[in-house]
Amino acid sequence: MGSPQAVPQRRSPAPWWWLVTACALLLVAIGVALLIWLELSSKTRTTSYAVIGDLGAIRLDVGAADVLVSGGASTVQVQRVDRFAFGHGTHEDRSVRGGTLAIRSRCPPQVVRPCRVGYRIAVPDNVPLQIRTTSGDVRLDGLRASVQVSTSSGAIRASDFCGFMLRAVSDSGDVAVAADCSSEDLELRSRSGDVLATVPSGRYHVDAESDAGSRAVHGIASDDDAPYQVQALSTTGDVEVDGT
Amino acid sequence: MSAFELPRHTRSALRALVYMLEGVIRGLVNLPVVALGLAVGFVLSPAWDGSMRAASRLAWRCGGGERARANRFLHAHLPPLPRGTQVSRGTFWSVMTLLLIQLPLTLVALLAAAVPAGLTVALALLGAGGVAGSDARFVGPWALGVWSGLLLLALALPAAIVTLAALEGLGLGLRAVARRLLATREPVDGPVRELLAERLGDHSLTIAYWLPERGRFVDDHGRPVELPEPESGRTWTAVDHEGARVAAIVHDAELDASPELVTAAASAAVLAIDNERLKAELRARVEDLRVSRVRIVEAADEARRNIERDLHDGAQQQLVSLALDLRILYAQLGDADQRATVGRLADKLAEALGELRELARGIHPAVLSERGLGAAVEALVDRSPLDVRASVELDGARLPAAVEAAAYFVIAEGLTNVVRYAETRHADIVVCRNAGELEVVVADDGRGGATLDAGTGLRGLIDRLVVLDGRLELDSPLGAGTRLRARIPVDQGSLVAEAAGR
Repeated sequence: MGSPQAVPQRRSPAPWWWLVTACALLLVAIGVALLIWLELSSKTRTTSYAVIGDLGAIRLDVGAADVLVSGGASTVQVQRVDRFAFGHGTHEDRSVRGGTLAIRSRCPPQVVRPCRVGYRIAVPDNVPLQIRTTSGDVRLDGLRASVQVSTSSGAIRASDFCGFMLRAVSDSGDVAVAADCSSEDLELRSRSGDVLATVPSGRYHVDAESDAGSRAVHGIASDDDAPYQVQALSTTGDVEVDGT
Repeated sequence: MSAFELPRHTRSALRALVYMLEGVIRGLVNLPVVALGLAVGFVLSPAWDGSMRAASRLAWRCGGGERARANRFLHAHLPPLPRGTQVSRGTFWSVMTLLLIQLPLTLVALLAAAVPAGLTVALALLGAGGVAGSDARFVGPWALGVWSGLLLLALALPAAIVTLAALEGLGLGLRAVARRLLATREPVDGPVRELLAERLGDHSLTIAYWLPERGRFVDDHGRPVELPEPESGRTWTAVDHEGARVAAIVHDAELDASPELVTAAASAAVLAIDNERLKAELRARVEDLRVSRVRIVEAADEARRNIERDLHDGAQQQLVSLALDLRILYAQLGDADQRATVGRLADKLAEALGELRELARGIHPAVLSERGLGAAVEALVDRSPLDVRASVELDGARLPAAVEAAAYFVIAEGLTNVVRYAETRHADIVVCRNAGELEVVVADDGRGGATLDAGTGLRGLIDRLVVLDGRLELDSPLGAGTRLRARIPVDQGSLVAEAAGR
């Protein structure tokens, strides 16, 4: 018995497949239109301002924005680069109250493509900083002040740091700090990111632990009575403390 | 909406989805079984000859499972894989290829289906959030609200349609792969019904064979069948061979195959179907023979009943009136010698009358045909010299005459055997309906040790029961009584009911 090779006769495509084609075209058309609109309405806006006068502290709460803070300036200079589409830019509140500059910024919740903000801030020495982001990365460069940074998923990176205290806490981002001078108190913690501290060689009270990752301490002497403290903790990431 | 045949497309999309989801699980099993099994089999083959064969057989079985799945979910209409010994190298490796690529292929297909499915879910959730006011995000330039929510919900519909089409299309693609890799060129012989059911993807498919002499359709067993009415959800396709009707394929009206495909499959199998038709014709004849045998027994019973009636109404009545005449003559006679002679004659006549009654009962008891099995059993119990407990549970319903007669003769023969051989004074009779059968039990507490071969009485009973599809069982351990049990099917569909119906 041969296998039946009869092919059902070719009919014109069923109404169903017309319907499917129409639906697919509709969705593609809407998608393409949205994309074109997105491209056409995309804008990059740069806002710069300076804060005149003595400041006692600076507090940043910027959500998903990336932050770059550099030290050594004479006044506080803020540059905000705002990339957005469909005319929905960032909301920023800033205030100076009791000598504290507070900047709070959020992108409006957007399904298609949320806006993207970057802050570049130049600060004078000895102005304590408090920075909080959600997914934004934080970079600190050449700061001479006490700093507290906390992020959810953003990375924290500090170079040439020479302040009294640095507390950097991230949930899932990496934390990497290179200190120019020995700080009184370096507190670096991450839950799932790696933690790396580079400090001038010498005697430190070292508390470097990782639950699930590796732990390495090189080039410094550990001494519980030392005047400087380095704390580098991670739950699942690797922990490393190096002396230079 | 009916022009779009949405339910049909939804069904095939869902089938494809189930096929893919199950394919992931199957693939997780098949891949290691095939790859590792064949590798281990190959490595061990210098040490043990059978290792490669065992691994191949296991992998081949996995291939068989995939064929069944492709037929079930994708309607691939693939014929069964040939047995392992008849497989060519090319066929074997093409089946193995399918088993090896199954997991990655299925995962890619699922991923492809996830794109429109994800879009549908996202649109629906966003839309619902907007309508409910629980989501305050922007969608592009618009803020989510009732109207934009409704718009998004409306857009979820075409996305859902595209999802269905994507699933169906992926199913068609996977079906093409399965057909390419699992189709075998080897001839397959098997029951033609199974073959057609597989080819056409309808497992409820049946074949009705045409018997031209009788002018009717019959099934595999030769029993008459009716073709389905239109609008009954089932339909049939005629199978003709050289201008003559051979059979009809009865299948689902919503079969996922065009009528041309059914006809093509049928004409490819027409010789096999014709062969089956001849067998069905033979079985139909056997069936007729069985039924006519029942009717012969019934006719014989009827004839015996007539003889019994003739004896009762004719010879028996004349003898009774003769006995009355003798009694009157006896009263009138004065001579002692003559009176003694007439008295002797009357005694002999009474003896003859008794023997004639007994004979008539043996031929066919009148009480059975007139008042049924219950009354006939009572009469048997009354006449028996034994102490009999009888339980007849028939709710007064009459059974077909042939069944009643068979049951009656089983009880009569059973009681006779108890009197003759069992050496006891107690017997039990149970008559009841049980699971579509009439069950008759005659039990005693005598010495046991009886066998079915012992006398001609039981042999004759067995013959009588076999005609009715019945059975006779004898349980008689030595010293622990005898239990004679007969069972006769009487329900709808039994031979007796069929004979009564014709």
